[in-house]
Amino acid sequence: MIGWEFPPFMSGGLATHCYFLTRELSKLGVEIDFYMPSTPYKIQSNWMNIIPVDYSSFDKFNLKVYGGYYLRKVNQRRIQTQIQIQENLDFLGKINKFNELVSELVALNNELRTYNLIHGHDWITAKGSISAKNKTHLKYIMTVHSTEYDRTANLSPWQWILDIERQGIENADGIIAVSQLTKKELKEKYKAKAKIKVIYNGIEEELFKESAKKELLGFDGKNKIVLYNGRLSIMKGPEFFLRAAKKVLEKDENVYFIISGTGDMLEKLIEMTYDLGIADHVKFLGFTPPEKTPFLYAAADVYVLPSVVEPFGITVLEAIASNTPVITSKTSGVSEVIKNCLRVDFWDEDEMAKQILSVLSFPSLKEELKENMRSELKKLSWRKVAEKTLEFYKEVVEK
Amino acid sequence: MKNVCLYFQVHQPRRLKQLDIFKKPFDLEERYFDDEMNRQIFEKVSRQCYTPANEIILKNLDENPDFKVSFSLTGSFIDQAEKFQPELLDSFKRMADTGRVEFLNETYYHSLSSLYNDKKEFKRQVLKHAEKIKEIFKVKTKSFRNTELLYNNDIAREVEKLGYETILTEGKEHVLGWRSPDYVYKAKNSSLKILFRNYKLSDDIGYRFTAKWWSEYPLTADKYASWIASGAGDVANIFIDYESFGEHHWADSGILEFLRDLPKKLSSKGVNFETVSEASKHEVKDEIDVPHLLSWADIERDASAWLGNRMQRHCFNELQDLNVRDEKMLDIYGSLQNSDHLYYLCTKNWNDGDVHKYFSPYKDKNPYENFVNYINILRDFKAEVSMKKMKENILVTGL
Repeated sequence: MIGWEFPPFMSGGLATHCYFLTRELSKLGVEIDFYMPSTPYKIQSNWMNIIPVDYSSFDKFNLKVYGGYYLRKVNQRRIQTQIQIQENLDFLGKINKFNELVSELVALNNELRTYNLIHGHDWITAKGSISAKNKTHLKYIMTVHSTEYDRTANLSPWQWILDIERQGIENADGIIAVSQLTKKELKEKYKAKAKIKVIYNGIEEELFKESAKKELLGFDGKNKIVLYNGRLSIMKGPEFFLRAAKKVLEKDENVYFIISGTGDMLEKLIEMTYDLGIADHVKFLGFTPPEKTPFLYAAADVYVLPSVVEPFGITVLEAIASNTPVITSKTSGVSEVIKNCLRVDFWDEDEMAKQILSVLSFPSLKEELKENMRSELKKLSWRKVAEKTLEFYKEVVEK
Repeated sequence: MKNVCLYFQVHQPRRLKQLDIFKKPFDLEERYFDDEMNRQIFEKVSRQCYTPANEIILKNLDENPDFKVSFSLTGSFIDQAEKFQPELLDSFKRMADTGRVEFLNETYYHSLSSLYNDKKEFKRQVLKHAEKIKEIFKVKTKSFRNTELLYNNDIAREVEKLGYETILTEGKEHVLGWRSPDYVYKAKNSSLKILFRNYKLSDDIGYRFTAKWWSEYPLTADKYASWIASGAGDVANIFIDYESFGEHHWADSGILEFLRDLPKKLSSKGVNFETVSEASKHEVKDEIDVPHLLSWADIERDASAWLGNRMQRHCFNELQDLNVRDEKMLDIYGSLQNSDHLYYLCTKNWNDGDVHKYFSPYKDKNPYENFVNYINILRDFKAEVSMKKMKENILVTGL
């Protein structure tokens, strides 16, 4: 499996996904070598080999391909090595280098390990996966967690990323999409020909068992709290959240809005709260590490996902696991699979405010949502995700 | 069986607008009701069902001097017919003119007012409906059908107090036990007669007519008439939604031909037609105790389709607690009581949920979203009612 990040090194849902997917796959008897860029963290796993990729990874083969770098001789069977950042490259350069190295490594290790399949996540591992596929004649499955159009809210996708993405989609023998929404996009915008299987993200319910303590966030137990948790980028729609907040406060002054996350819109959003005159009711927390988010969800009376574009929206599952009712934009993959929630058009601030106010004001709604939403997570365990993934592996390999 | 009692239910709810709590039209009717949607749906159902089915009924009345049928038209239906398609009412009037079509009474607004603690609103609606039927069709009846055939001992007592001699309800086994629905019964400690719906024979038309999995599919008028003719009881009570003919079952299923052919097939097998009032003249076989609510809805045949969850009970309580006096406000209050509005909030189980979804006009809305809209409309209306009262009090007491 070829990934880009893994806990504790993570920026988003991809790391979480890889963590739980590999854990459950290994329980199903799948042996995994997980390739990812080397990082300053010590990344370990009990259920698979994690192979940080940089030049030193080649030590054991004593290759001179990348001559000029110091190559250490290590135990033939030891795959993992030290981290060395050898060269100053830009983002694209680093990605290309990583992909180049990874394909070499996979091909070499394949002689020892005799892999059955290459599974790469997103565009960022596509080139390496394709080239490894060509070298090994193994089948390649690509999971698309989001597309370049998604990540830029359809505004200004980078052409070079689109190109790589398209190559991956064209060369993959099977594609896993995280929602029907993504599948549709792959068919329409990328003209994907390979079989696409929709496998929704999963949730580890046990991680979200905190009890509500509003005081931890500096609030009175009587204050009503509305939570946003996600990157502050245009695709996530945080400004629509603030506009709805303004409307809510017109009707109820005892409501507070928490914004957890950071991103390129942070400054603009802070200015916006002053322009709207709601700064006293909005609290920016910055980035919340994953181990702290359960406290946030537990303290909130309602969780809002106002995304303009959202291939899945794993935070919705986290909120539900925390027993916090959810309002999600209709343009999110998660709204395909979660029925017991409120859905709204991200641009419709009046409706969003009406829904927020209703959850806060009417216990009948809140309790009914709570009672019915929990059972929906049963079909979304990582175990189920892994089972479906394994099923797809077999289907693609045997094809 | 020698006799058959055919009764068709005709109802259209007055569907709601999505209330924008921040931009409200001044006029309340415009604020709450989506009469454009109501017109479109009315015209569609009329085109597919009411108009062709009425023609068929009229032709049968003309050609077959023995043919008789009963209808119940809700006030909400009549109001919309007057507004959108007055000529449709004319064809119902022509039926009334034959003297062989009975028009039953019910609550004007197809409401659950029979379940309110205070029966004042129930009486108002029943009286209003009786007056409307008399005004349009120049006929009076002693037969009553409650909304969705809701029935228990208490309702029977109220209905008897209003001067009715007969009531209709569902012929469910858990109430009838070994007794057949094909006889006349009476209510506990009362002389009110009960006609129980033969749900097997009724559902053969209402539900199973287009069911390809059904061993009797396709159902012909001849076969159906022979089932009725071979029955052992006094009268077969076939109670179905009129919309079954062309709307729930589309015309291409042959349902309209079935309706056309059935009367002559029944006559040819010696079956006699009876209106509801005539059917209730058969000898009373037994007294039936119904302490718990009975209806013809869903698998449960109880009130859970409208009062099964907290949101529904919440809205129901809001409705029954409203104290409206103003005449114009009373009509709005009535339309807000259409039981359909509560039905769209049902979360019961996904199988039934599908049926509810099929009947919901708010296609992209789930029960929670429908609740948000409905409760906000009810709260808004409540505020308008008390505002009006306050203004009036000032006019009366002020100097």
